[in-house]
Amino acid sequence: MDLNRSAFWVAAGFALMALYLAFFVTPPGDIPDESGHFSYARDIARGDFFPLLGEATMAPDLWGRPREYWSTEPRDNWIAQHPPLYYLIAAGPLAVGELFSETHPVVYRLPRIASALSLGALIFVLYRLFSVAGVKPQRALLLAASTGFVPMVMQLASGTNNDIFLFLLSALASYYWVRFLQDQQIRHAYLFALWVTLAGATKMTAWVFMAPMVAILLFEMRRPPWAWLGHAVGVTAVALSFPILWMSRNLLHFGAPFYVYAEGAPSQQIQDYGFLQFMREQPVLDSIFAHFYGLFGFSGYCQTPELAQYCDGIRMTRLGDFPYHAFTDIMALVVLAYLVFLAMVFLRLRRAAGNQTSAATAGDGLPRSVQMHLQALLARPVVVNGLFVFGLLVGLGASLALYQNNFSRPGMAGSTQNLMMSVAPLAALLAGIGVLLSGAVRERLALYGAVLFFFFGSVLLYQVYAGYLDAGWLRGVQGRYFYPVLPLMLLALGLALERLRVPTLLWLLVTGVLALAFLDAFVTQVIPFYLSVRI
Amino acid sequence: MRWLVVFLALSLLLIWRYGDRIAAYDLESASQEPVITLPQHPGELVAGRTVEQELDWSRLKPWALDRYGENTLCIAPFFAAYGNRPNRGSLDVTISTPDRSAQARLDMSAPRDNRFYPVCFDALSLEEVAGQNAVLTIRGVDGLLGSSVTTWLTSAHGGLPARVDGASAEHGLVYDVKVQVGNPRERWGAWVLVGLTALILTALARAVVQRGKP
Repeated sequence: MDLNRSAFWVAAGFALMALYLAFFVTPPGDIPDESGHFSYARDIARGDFFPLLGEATMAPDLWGRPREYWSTEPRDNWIAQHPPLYYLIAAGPLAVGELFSETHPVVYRLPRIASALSLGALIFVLYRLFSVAGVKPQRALLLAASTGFVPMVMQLASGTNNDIFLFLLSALASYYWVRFLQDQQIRHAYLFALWVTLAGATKMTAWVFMAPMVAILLFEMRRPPWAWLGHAVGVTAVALSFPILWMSRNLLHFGAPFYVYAEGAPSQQIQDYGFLQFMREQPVLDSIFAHFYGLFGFSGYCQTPELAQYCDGIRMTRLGDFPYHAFTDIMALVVLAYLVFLAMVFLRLRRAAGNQTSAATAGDGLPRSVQMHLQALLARPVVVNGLFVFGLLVGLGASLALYQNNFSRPGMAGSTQNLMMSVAPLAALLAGIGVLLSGAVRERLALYGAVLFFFFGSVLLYQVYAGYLDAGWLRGVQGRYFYPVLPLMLLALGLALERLRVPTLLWLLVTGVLALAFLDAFVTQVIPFYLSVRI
Repeated sequence: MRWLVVFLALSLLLIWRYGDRIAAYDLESASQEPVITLPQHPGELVAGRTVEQELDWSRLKPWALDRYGENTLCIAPFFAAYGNRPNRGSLDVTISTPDRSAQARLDMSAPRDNRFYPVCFDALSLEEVAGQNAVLTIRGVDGLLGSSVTTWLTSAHGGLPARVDGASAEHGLVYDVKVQVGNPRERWGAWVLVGLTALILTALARAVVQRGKP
């Protein structure tokens, strides 16, 4: 059996697991905002293709509640702020199910099929992305499978929610983006643009990811000036096509292109609260990291309509103990390996500086890209050394400032986590300098991931900070918001480990530990949590 | 064939590791989790020693009787097993109300150190005793010093102190009120997860060792 087939079966295993959880384990309503996501999908299944924020409401009969227990006041469905692509797909199984019954308990779980199958497809696409970019196929499969062993990924795949579908579309966009950087075939650039606009048609967070991706693609595009300009316009137009449509709709209805649901009026606008103080006192990165691994629960605890008087708010739990510690430690080691890789890149760049046999001058008949022009200009020992020292000093300073000002929980996991997250500015700055100097596409692919991740993270961090000043409470600290940039970040880590010649058996061992942590999390924390809070 | 063996071996390993945990889904807690402060223990519960505790029904979850009223009652004291040394002997655990009582025997090799361990009373449902003046008695049957477990006491039970060997103690017994509910769906769910995880790991191991074409 060849590896593609193995990858297919592994991906099918993950999809099967997500389907099983979706129909038999994850309580209805226990995925973040699932009531809203379901209601949106059902509006579409019943013919209302573009429910409007402010008019759309939650389904009153959620999760099969008998009519006498329906809520009397309609509740706003804030999920209608999202673009509709995922809901169009999730509505398919629901529409078919509703042909047979509108109230059977299974019907409420049918839209979950879209997320579960997306997970299977995601694992396969990630495997293809990593292997086509230069990770040995066996290791590419292990890396892709490790993604499925993040409990939060599986949790979201077992519910009605747009995150895993977005992750899949982002992986597909990343795949064609990588292909284009490798072979410069223009159809790959347009296929990237197509997938990225579909990602933008799924969730607005993809718009943030889209901007640097398009910019880098143009930075790397090797075409004569007029052709470059034409394709720059073409690719940008395709990539932006859906977001522009959605912005126009927002402008038409709400007067603002980026209009989203405002959770009540700003309640207590905070003044004189500096960014560093915010980072020091609020568990921002800590929450993002912990929630990335596992934040379970929502309103699914409320399962007995006759006892609805006891239902109040949401019930959630964070994963801890062995699974979380194992994940944190593994991530810390991988980040450390990435730093070693960066050091190796700069050593190589120093040696290669001035040597005009690099790819920048390779005679393959194609014109130079902007990147190649810059590289040719900068590839001198003194510039490489200068940029490296600059990156090291500024990056270290920024990382140190982040480390000292980052909220950290006491204990080993907190310290490891803090150290790991604090190296982000250093890694991103060195990686950013590296892409200007490197003549090897594969090496640049391993660097772009860190740059994109840092860019995306900075935008998210700014949004969280601004949101805190506005509302007075911490919101939006969800690790799942990083899914659009994760394929390329994982690719960067995979290529770094490849360069460090980490043996396949060690990859397998680490994947095994992640799998055990995953199972441990579900058996000893997630399912007991469902049981302990259930009313 | 050899991959089938790998799959079965992995599954058995995971069943060995998680079997007890999954079997415990049978029970759900009907009370708020007890708060443990300034813990003490009365020493090993050797033959003849007793710990008595009047049950505090105010700790029941507000919906417990509506949801679990008819389910079998279990009480889970919080045990100290002295670092999980090989303890032997047994304890009699009794619940008495003014008009009924039920008893169960507990093998002292079963409780783990600093863990709740449930004792179920097949003859009693939660609604039959909840709200009544019910006393839990734990009595050493044949345990010897050096191989018996004990139970933790806490100061956080204002008003309801335990009695140790007939004398009033300052602290109350740490215990959880549980009910037997079955939860077959969740138990099956966990077993399926175990099986699928083993299956995926086997497939990954196979992919790694084979010399396939990408």
